[in-house]
Amino acid sequence: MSDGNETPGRGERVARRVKAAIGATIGFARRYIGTGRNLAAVALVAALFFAPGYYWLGGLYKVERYVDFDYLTASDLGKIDLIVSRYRDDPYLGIIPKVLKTGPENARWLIFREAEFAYYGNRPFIAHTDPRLIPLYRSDKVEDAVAFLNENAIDYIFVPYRHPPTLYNTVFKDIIGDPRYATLTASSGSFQIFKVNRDDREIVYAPVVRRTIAGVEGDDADSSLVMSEDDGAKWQHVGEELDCRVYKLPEEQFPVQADYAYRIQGSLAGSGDARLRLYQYEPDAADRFWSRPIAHEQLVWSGRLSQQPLPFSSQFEPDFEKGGFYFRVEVSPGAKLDLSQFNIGAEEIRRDDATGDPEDWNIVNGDDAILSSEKYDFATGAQQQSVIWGMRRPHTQAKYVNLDIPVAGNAGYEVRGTAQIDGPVYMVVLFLDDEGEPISRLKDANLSDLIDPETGQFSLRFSTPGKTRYISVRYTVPPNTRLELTENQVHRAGGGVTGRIGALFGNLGLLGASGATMSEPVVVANTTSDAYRELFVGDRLFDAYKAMGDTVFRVEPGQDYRVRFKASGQGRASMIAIFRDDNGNLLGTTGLWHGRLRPQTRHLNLRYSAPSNVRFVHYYLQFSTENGDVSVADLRHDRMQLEQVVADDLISSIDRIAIENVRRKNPYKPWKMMEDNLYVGPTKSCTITARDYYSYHLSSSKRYLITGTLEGDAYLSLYATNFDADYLPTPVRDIIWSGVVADGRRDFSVQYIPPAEGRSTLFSLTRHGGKRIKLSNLKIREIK
Amino acid sequence: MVLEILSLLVVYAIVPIVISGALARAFRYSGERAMEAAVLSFGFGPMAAGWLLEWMFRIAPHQTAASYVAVLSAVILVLALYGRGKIAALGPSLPLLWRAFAARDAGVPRTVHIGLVALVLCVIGFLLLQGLVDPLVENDPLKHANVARMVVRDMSVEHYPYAVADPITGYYAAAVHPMGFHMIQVWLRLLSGSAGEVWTIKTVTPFYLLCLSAAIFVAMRKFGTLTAWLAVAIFLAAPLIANVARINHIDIFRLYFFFAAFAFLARYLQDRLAGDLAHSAIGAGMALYAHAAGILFVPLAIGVFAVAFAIPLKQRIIAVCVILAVAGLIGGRQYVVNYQLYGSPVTSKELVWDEGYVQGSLHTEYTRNIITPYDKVVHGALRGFTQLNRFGFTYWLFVLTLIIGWRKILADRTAATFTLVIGGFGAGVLLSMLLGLDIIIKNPRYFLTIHPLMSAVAAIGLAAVVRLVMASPRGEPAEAAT
Repeated sequence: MSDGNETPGRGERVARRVKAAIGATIGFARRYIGTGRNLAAVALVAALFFAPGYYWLGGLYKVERYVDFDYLTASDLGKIDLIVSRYRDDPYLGIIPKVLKTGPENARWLIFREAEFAYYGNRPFIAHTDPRLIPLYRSDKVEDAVAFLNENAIDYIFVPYRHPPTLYNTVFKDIIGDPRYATLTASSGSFQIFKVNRDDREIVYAPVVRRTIAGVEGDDADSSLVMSEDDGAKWQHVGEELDCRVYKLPEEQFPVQADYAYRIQGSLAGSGDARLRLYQYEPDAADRFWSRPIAHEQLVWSGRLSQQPLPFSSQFEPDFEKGGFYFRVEVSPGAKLDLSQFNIGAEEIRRDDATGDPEDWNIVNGDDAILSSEKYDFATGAQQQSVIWGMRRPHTQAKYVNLDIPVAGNAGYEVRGTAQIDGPVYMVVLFLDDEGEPISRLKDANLSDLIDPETGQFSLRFSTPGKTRYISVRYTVPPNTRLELTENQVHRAGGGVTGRIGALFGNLGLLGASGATMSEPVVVANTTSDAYRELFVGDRLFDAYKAMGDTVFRVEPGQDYRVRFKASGQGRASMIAIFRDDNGNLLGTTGLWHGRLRPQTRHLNLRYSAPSNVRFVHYYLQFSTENGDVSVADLRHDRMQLEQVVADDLISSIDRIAIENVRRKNPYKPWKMMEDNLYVGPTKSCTITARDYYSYHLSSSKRYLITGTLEGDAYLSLYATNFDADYLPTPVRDIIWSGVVADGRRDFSVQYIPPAEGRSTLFSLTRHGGKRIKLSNLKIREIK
Repeated sequence: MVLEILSLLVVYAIVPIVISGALARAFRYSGERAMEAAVLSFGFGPMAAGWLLEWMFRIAPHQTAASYVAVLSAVILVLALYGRGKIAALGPSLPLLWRAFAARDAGVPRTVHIGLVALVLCVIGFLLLQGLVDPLVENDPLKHANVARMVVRDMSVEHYPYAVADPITGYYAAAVHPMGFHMIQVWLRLLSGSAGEVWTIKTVTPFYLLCLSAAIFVAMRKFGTLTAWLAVAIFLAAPLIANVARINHIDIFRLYFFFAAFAFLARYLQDRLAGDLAHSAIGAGMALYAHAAGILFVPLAIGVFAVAFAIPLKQRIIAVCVILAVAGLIGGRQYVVNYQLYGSPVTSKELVWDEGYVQGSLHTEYTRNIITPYDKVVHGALRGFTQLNRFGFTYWLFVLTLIIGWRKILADRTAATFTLVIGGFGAGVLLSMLLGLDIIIKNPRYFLTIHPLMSAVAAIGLAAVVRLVMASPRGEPAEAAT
């Protein structure tokens, strides 16, 4: 019985188990699918938040401010410095400290934007919307405006970021556009402060030399620029052929690691002039993710394109682990860039710091061409030349007052000191991580804004990014300027509740001065502009010190060369090749290498291909610190006999993906500005088609008068972009005129002070809606 | 700091509870109805105190801060004594409130419910944080804060709206808005005893963001908590809402009163209780007192009553009269002043704007890109549909709801009322365009007026879509909950 019953029993059990297993599987699958569907339902709702999330990212980017008690309570006049330091990219607030330092407290102002001035400015004023101004708005006589300013005892005029029609359409445009009536005394983020002149002064002007970015200089400052209705392709171009238009490649990030050296190489073909640049953003140094400051920028290639593909090759070592690198191409109007020939390859070259001997350099991705220097005998090179390195760049002096002051991350600090200056001096605070590498920096603070003119004391408060372990304070001194620094201290300031209490006790003398003291009297001697020499390296200079080889080598066009040298020292450096034609005219430049110097001697072995019609080349090394002994030796210049420079096939797999992305997208896409997303106000459809660039050399210690004629039918803005001459150059863009030109012609006249001691100032035009616009008769004069 | 925290407690907790208690006693609310009315009208408290404060400034200006605070405290104390029974009853009704917000619809899986609630709470939390912490940097918030600071400086409102420039600073504004927003800031400044640095003024918008979210939730509760949470989510998902919330703009504040007034009006049309009508009228008065756009309530409410055929005509006329009388009493003053100053009850134009050579209207047309008739329609009147970067998907979801959920809208007084109001607003935009006025279309923020109402209706359609997507728990059909 037992036997007879067991078999069907077993079968039943098996069947039950199978059924149960199937049931469990189906149940699991159903539950799993159910969960998936439920998550999809939540994701559907979450997708609604995509657009606002886009806005919030701007705020999320700097989260530490939400745990800062000082910041929470910063809503009023007493903390304007704190607000401005946190909102230092906000054009609306940066001007307020300058307002507070201008004139006596009871001086009256005429203001063309009310909100920030009224709330934070603490000065009596007449607003541009005040009906008392109506008689003037009906008048077209400057005398009436002058009389009004005198009657109402108005000493200063406050002009905002974008001009209101009460300014650009009325008689007041003639007041601020003429140095006889009003002197521009300060500006920040396109806001301007004018002092009303009460004496009949004689104004003397001097012409300003215009430079085009390809290096040809001319002395006429007149130019025209036309933007027609559609995109860049249909533009008429007026002006010299060498003025370049900027295209931005789609910003394909190509990931890098800080411990590696990389090489990019490729070739460019086409006609016209072009530049290729490589740049990296600061990883976490901005409030908004779309306006991250550029950490460093390197010129890869610059020159005239030809139908023959021109190979280029450049090495670089990333400053930061994070952030990745981006490429940008700039071409002149009418230039053609053949993208089928445009390749960028990159490879990782692992560096071994143990000896600096090239044999210890380990090439990761297989290419042996670049660093296989054992094939070459250093000792017997016939063309060996010695170069004197270490010549200071005369027009700018920078001084690390003290390196590596240990600090804590996410804390508030204050630099205090006493100094005497007689011109604009810029102070930069660099934040360094535990390895001493910079992770971000505070934007240049103009010392003359911080300094108390009577006591000579100044202070700057800031808070450190999370990973900061050291800070470094640095001062930049332009020509004809003296900086005498008698005291310079770093204190822990209020950041967070403890910091605040600590500062309180410190004030009471209970804790003494907290934080590091680095008092080190420094007198930086007068610099003179006589020694100023303009050395062309693209439109950015990477200073503070640079050296130049005096030796000029002869080269044959289209041939491949290599340059080798040994280098040691501290800081970063760039090696650049400068090409000239038979007559010595500048044809172009190539950045051959950018990287960190090491205490150990490094052998660098670089190569490039000489562009067509090049006859001469000289080399140019610039580096970033005076600290330690920078030495370069064994500079050689060789024709490469056996090696072919190959563009494509050296690419590692990761880089190849990035580069294919670059190639797929259309690089002729014009440079679009995200301004309509930054500010609620202008319409969504405000489009910026492109811009033309002219470059002038303007100094921040001088004032300029810019005049011109605008024609068309649009709301438009005229920008001046100033590239500062700093180690990590930052473009600062100001709107110098904005308004509606409706079916007509309008002459404008504005005053301008460049915001930083720059190397070059570019002018560009932007159209918001509307149709064709044209700028002509652009004249720039220095007000003596 | 302690003083500031205490002042927040008074303004945003004690006063709203006292006012709710007093109203509940006056209109004999109890139980669930009292709880819902208290949530919907929670923001009335600070506004009522601000309103009283303005009249105190008008009757007896230039007194010390302490005396204003003392008189106001006395009035609040009297109201508290009057409504003490209802205030005491609030404690036991807290579980009701908890159940209302924590409930999960039958047929809605826990994953969806928790995910959705967490999403909404995170968004609200982050907006509160930003609104509270970031300093005032935008144009309009700074101007409002400046007015409040000057009122405290003068201990008087005699110079408002500064159509003649302030004699000390020179501040000039051809303002048309009543003082609701300013007076709450004034009150906060008085409580912390300073005309200078007062961070608590940044709490007004965050508080009303909470009030408005809760009000939307309560108004849509009858469609199930899924729809109610979705309504809040759609409301918050408009980028412009996120923007005005985080910069402490006035809009969240004014939208709350506009929404609450219509929510109570819908309740009145449903149940015809005098209490709901009174709440609606008070809300309308406060909407008028909050912002000049609040005056839109009057024509829109009259329009709603005009088609509310279920109610006898006589009763409708009485209701309209009650609303006009109460609302006019609370918020009507500024519109009379505007008429005397500018020749029109609501005008947003600066006096100098088109004088002489200024050509301000041309500037506005170009900068806002409403130059051609095409632009005016596409970027102006239809901007809710075309500007996703400002309004999100709200308008499209609303259209979706009209298509797939019109039965539900017709069957419910709240949804029907809201839809009527939205339609009335659209008709108004159309009318203003036909008359050649740019007044509504020139500023995207004016379109926010109907945004909470539209989010509430749009949630019905989105809920249907979500129910379609999500899996129903075993044994329950997904449609069961509705």
